[in-house]
Amino acid sequence: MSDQQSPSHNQSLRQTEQVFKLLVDSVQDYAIFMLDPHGIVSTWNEGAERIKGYRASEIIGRHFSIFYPEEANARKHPDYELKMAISEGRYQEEGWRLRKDGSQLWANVTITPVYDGNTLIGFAKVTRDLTERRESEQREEVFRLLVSGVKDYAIFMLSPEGNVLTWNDGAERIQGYSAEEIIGKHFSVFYTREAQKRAHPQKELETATAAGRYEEEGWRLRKDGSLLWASVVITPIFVQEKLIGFAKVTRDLTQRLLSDQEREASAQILDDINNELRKALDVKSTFLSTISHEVRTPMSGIIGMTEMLAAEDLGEDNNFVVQNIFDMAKRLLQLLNNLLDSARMESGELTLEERQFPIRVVLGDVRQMVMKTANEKRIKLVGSCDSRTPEMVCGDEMKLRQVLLNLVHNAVKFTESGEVSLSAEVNHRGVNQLTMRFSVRDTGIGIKPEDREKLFKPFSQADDATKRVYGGSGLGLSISKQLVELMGGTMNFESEFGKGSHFWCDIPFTLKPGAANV
Amino acid sequence: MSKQILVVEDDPILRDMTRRQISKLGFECVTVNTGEAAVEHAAPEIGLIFMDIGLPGIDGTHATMLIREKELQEQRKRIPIVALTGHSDRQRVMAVGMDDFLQKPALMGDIKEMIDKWLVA
Repeated sequence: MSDQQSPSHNQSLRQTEQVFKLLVDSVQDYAIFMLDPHGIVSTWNEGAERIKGYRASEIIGRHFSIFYPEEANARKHPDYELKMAISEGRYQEEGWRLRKDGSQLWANVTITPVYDGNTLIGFAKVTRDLTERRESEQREEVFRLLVSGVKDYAIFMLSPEGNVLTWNDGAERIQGYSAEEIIGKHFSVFYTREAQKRAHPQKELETATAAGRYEEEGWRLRKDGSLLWASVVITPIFVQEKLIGFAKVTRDLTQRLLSDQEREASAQILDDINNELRKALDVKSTFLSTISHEVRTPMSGIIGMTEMLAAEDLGEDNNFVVQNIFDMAKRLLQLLNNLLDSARMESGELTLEERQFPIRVVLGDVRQMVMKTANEKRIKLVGSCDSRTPEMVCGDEMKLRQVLLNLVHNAVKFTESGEVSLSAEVNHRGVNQLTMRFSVRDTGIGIKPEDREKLFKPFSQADDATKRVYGGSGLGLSISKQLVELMGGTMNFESEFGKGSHFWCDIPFTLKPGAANV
Repeated sequence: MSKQILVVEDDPILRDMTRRQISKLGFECVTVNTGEAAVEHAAPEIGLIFMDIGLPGIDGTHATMLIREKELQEQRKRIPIVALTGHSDRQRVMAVGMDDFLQKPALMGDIKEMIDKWLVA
């Protein structure tokens, strides 16, 4: 530098300084200011004011350590920066600084020492506010960590052509490739040969680009060649309307699909079975009720006509024959009734009919109906009725008749000698209702302990030998027990094989007529 | 002398049989084979109706409802109607205005019991 400077040279230098000063002052995106050799702020521009928050008048004359957080000042970092600037000729760093309002800014700082000849006259300091960039970088970092750590979803980027750009843990877990293996490869490797053949991967990208999103569930290939059922979402990423790639999110739904399929399959099988059963039951029920009804018409003719004929004097032989026809016809009808009851009981169609009825009459009638058979077998048939039994009770008379008739009939049938008794007693009496116990005892063949279980099952008798000797459908007891239960009662028995049996049922009745069928 | 008994039955043999049963019991009997005919014949000279349920055309419950309606319109005394049917659904037939229920086959004793109970003199 020359000591001799012309006035015009000085003039132009001052002008240059002036322009330069204006330039610096008006820079808004950078804080540009001077420090004296001790670090005292000596100039301030608009950018400095905007970034740091101080006006020139507030800050000029203050030490620049005011811009540093306490922690940096504690370790004398501002002094260190100046020393470094002197020794290195320039110091640059990025770090946290404080604004006037105390908020932090992420600053890119350049400090350059300024010399006049060999004399240090100060430092030029240029500071850029990179807070926003720093924050977005942090956000990106957090986001990147987040994505890369997701294990349940494969989340990765594809280039516009479909090459894999990024890879996360989930992608590695689901698709089987490590990041090194797959990055740079085309994503069609995830697709089955068949899907590749029809250019499905490319179509997915085209659809995503056109529609802004592509979503499907389908089969994909793992690295080991196994299939996975994937839910795939592809989103195109545009920056300023230019496609820069695709974000692809894949979920492995193989397990869910399999369990869904299994569930559906087993539900379907169950449905089918149930439908078949329902159909079978419907058919059986319809069949039985049709048969019962259709058979009943000719049966009615046979029974009614035979009865009339039997009442005529046809001669002893003929009357005997007609009477047998009549008895057999009635037996056939009874079987028919049992079958129908059994079917209706199964389908839940059998309902109670509550009416007042004379209970003693029922007991007498039942005894009367079996009396003939008992007399023929020379079996004593006795009856007794508790004196506390009311004249009238309210309940299902027909079903009670059916049950008692069945029990007494069975008792007579399975007894070769001795006595059968039907007794009724009041078990419990309340204000509006009472429970009657009906007991049927016989001195018949009895029931073996091992046959107890079978007794109430439909179509079963104690054993096959019994069936051969005594006949019958094996429906009677099963129906009777169900009827008793339908009436709200219970049926039970005790028996000693070879000595006899005792069946009883406890059945509740009301004492006032119910609302229906008074 | 008691009134006539109307038997409604579509099966010819059963119709004849019931007529014979009633005659044997000493009562006068008229028979028809449809519900429509039953409604027509349900006149004051009838003292009891045995009504089948399953009939061609209108069934026994429908016929009963029409008879009950006619009786109300003509302000006549109601004729006792006893279902005589192969069905065992007592409650259904009672609900439409029948008075009693006999399930087929009906023996002489059953018929007599109903006549004694219901026949209007």
